[in-house]
Amino acid sequence: MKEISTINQQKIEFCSVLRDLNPILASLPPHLQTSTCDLKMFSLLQPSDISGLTIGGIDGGYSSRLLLGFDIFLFRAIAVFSTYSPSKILKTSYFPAKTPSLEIAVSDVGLSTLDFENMGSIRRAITELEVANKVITEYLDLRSKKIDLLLLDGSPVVNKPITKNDKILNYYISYVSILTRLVRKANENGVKLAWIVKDSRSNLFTKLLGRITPFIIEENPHLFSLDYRQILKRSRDMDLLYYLLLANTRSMVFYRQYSMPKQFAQDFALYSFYLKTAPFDIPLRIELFQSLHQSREERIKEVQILSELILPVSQYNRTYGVPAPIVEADARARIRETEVESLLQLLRKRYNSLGLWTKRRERAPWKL
Amino acid sequence: MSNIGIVISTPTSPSLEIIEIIIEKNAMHKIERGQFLCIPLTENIQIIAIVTNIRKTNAYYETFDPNVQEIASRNYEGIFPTGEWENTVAELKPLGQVEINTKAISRVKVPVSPGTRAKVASPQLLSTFLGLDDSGLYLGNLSSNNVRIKLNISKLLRKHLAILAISGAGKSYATSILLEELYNYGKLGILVIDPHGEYTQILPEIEKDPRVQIINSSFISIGVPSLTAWQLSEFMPEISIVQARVLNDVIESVKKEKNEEYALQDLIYYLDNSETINSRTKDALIGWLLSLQRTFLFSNQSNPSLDEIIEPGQITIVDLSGIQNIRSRQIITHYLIGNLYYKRMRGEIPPILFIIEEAHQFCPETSRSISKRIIETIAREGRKFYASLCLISQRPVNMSVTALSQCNSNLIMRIRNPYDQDFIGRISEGIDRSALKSLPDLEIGEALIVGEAINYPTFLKIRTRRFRSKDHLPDLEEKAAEYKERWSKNRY
Repeated sequence: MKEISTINQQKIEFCSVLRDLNPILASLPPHLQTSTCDLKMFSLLQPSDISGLTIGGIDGGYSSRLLLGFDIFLFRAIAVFSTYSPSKILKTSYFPAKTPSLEIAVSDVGLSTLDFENMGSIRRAITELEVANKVITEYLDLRSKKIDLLLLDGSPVVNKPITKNDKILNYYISYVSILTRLVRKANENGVKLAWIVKDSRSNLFTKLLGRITPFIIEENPHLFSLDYRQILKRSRDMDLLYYLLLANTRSMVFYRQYSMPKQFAQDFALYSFYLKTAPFDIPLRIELFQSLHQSREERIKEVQILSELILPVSQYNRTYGVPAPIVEADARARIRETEVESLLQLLRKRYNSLGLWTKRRERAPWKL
Repeated sequence: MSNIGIVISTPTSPSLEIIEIIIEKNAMHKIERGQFLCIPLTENIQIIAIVTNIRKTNAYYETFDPNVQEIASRNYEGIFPTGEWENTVAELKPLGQVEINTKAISRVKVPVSPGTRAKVASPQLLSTFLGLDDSGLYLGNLSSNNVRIKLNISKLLRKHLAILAISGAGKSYATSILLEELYNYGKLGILVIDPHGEYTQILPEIEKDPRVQIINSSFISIGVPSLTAWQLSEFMPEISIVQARVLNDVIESVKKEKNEEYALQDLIYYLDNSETINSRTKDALIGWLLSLQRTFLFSNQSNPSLDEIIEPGQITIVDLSGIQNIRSRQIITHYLIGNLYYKRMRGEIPPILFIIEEAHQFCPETSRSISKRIIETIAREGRKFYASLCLISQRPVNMSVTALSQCNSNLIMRIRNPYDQDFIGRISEGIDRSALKSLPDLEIGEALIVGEAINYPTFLKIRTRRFRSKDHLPDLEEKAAEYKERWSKNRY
């Protein structure tokens, strides 16, 4: 326990020094400068006036059940848009509906647990992207509405599943295809698109810091006294950035390696940064695809605008700073246990199939 | 009828005790507390439930953090679509069920199913459920369901009615509505004991109607020759049996001597000159008779004649406003009600309703009252002889429990005093806690009808009077200004 306390103390000290220092990144060697487009490690932000703007959030709900004869997935995704005025929300719309119906998919029998989970998570991600795509194509066209910012819950990064199951691989290919189509479509329509990772367990920033710190120490010898290697080795991004960032500040943007189709990768690349919205909450990780045809200044400006748009919809509590459209979409998309049970009961009543029975454990005529 | 809401499933609802419904957005303006809703149990059975509470829920505010306002650059509603999460939940109390084909009413035996749609109960269904009578007395309206509360006359009056409320809540107005209805019904004999002369003001249009008779207290006299010693002794509750026997002998002697033409003065004179009567008895009887004589209510003839004041459909208002002495009022009340009751027992007059205003003055629970015994007797036994009471009071707690508890129907208006509320709760069967709690909040003219007259305690708005009142009663400021003007003129 003492070790934890010591490391924590050192971490706070290191972060405090680094935060005050706010290193200038332009002086880094060229191979490190390609990892970011920012000039400084931390940037102070000013929340934007979002009056008249429409900001949307997209989230999906997912649940699965292993039944006697079938393994089923239940999905739904929803987009929420709010148009703001100085004091209140002028209008909130939902797509496809305020309470979208559940989508049920039956998986093949004989999938391994890993494949079953992979299939579920890819299909959930596809459902969310499909809603996002429809919002930008159909919803915008049909209703002549504009969306200034569309926030999606989670990360766009879905790793290629390690499987021999063609169906799962095809779903993965389909996901990547929908993702590229979405990014291009959003770019064409002038819709800012960003993914919000609420609980990141990544250490990409920490790793990058590990590479940058030696160069900073050269010019700031008082950092010598701190065993920064040990600190960084024992830290995750969120952990470190909680101390590094103050409210209304963001970290430098860093390049996020992600394998995408060649043609898409020539035009867009995935970038991440951390944004602290509430003083006593961990920062959000924001991910976005940026056009490679933009200049460095244009890319910085885009990140700055995006951050300053996210701030006002995330500042409502000192200890919780998730953007409101994501909170709303999450609440609407969440699939509740009672909902699943009611649906299964309905299916059993309709089809009277043994395959829809739950496990024997769940059917016990007593509660022990 | 359009849908109001849908029955939801919670740990306690739907049950035999409570049903919770989520109100549909477009039905918000259609629901209110006290409203009757119907929910189908089967195709042929409707559950009738009353709205007991309405609450709003909003998930965004369930664990509201006060820090929210502290940090938010704009208010909470400016960031979250909180309005989209607001739900209105109505709590209903199932009252009973109605079988549509047979119109049979019974208690609820099985709860309704979650997901069932609730509607506003139709006037027809509600009329069946509440046991209303299309040809009954129309006292008011059920404001929430657009239903006319028409009460069966026998159910309302046969086992007596009590109208209870604080001063100014609309008791007299409600009574005047009852009188209007009874006037139109036209078959009962009605005697109104009116201590403040209110009803002569309230019902001026029927004042000149031969079916309405107003007896001014100054014209009332009790014929001593028509009274036996035992009847006379009822006006003197302290008299002993021995003294009553002596009085009887005195009356018999005076009757022979004066040939049925005598007054109290003659009895006193006879007593005073008697040499055979024990002096202590003599003095006591003389004292009591003198006290009766000082009321100026007794003479050698009765006026008006009791044979003339009650006829079918006739309303007789006894205006006691000219008499300030409560004992005198009680004597008149006892005399009129007692004699008319015995006439009714003998079938000499039609079925009769005695309406007694300020009934706590005439049959109090604790203090002595000359008229208490006869009122309690009618309360207990009047039903058998079709003699009914309508007791009106602003202090039910001071009223005879015997009389009030025999009133099987109660029309209760605003009651603020907790002792009175508690008392009403104890004497009135069928009134539940929630109804009792709402009594202080009733508006003027709003009433709770409970008991034999209706199948379920129901709040109603007393209907508007058809007859116009003579003048509006001046308020305090008008009255004070009027007096000052008169006083100034007289002074200078």
